[in-house]
Amino acid sequence: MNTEQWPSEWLRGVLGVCVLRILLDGPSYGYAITQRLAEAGLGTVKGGTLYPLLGRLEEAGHVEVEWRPGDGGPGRKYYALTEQGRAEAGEQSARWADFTSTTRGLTDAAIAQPTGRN
Amino acid sequence: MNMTDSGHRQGAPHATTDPAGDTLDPQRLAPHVEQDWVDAFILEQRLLGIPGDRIGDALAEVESHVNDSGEGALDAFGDPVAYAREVAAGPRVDDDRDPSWIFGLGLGLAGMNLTLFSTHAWIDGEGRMALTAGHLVVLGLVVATLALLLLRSEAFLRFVLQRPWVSLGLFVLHFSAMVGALFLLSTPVAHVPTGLVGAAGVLALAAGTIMEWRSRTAGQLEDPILGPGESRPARGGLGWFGWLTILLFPLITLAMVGLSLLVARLS
Repeated sequence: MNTEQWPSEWLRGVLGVCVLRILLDGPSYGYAITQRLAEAGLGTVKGGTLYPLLGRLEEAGHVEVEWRPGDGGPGRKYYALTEQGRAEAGEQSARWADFTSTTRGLTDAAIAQPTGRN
Repeated sequence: MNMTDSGHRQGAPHATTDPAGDTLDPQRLAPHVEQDWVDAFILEQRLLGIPGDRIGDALAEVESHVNDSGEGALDAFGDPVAYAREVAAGPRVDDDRDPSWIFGLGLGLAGMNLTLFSTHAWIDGEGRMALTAGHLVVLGLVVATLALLLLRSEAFLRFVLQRPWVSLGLFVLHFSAMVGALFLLSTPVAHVPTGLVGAAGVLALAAGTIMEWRSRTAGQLEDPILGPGESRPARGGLGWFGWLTILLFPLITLAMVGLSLLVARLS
């Protein structure tokens, strides 16, 4: 598991497809999603980044929301994929795979190259 | 509280609904969130015209997150104003709010002035009233202010909140310009029958009062911040204060007309 903090512009690009993928496992709430992202090695994703994204997924019809009462504490807002969201998760994951293959086709060669001029 | 008011929303983190309806403290939805953060978030969302139930939903989600993570809201969500703008997508309250309250205000103000001007002219025995350049300037200033409030309410409120002293200065200037125009620009531009002005005044007062009543009874200006699953508190009758605000202009006009007649009789 890689716990380093990735560049924020990379995370911004990949966060949507990662959240859709996590929700494929079943309905979940914001904090649990941040935990899953951290476990997956994406580092700490702040609420200020995650919830607006979840809101956009809801606006787009990819997720439905449901408040469930908590045990003694406040309730939690669960996000569940709609049929449209499931299709989107599959499609975006496939495109992301293509994208990473493409970029790696270009960048992998740099890994073997010595860095610096000396 | 209503558990099934919107299909996919059930349960509630906090089901506290104050039956009085007008004293719902938004902090109840986010007791673990810093008060300053909550206040700034709500103010920005209100300025953006986000409906109260969506503000409450977002606040409850912030509360849920800080409660689970143990982080402060500022750490987890950053600047409250920036976050309020981030989660501001969707319909705004102004989209379905009718502007009858502001027309009611304008008509009430105009009706009061017209009635009083005509009363004074009638007491002085003038069958025809001089319409002065000052009257037109006052009318223009009032219409301009109401138009600004109606068409640019967000910008107007932001300016007042960010520059309260400049706003106070502008208000004093605005009022002085109206009073100054009435006294200094007394050249008559037309003469209008006093009875006609009085009738127009009474009609404007009646129309304004009906509009205010309509706005009040439709609950147009009430938009409490509600948590998930909470329903709007039942609205009771208008109460004496509600009726007083609806009848404010006719009552002031009646009092001023009565006073003018009394002064005329005594002098």
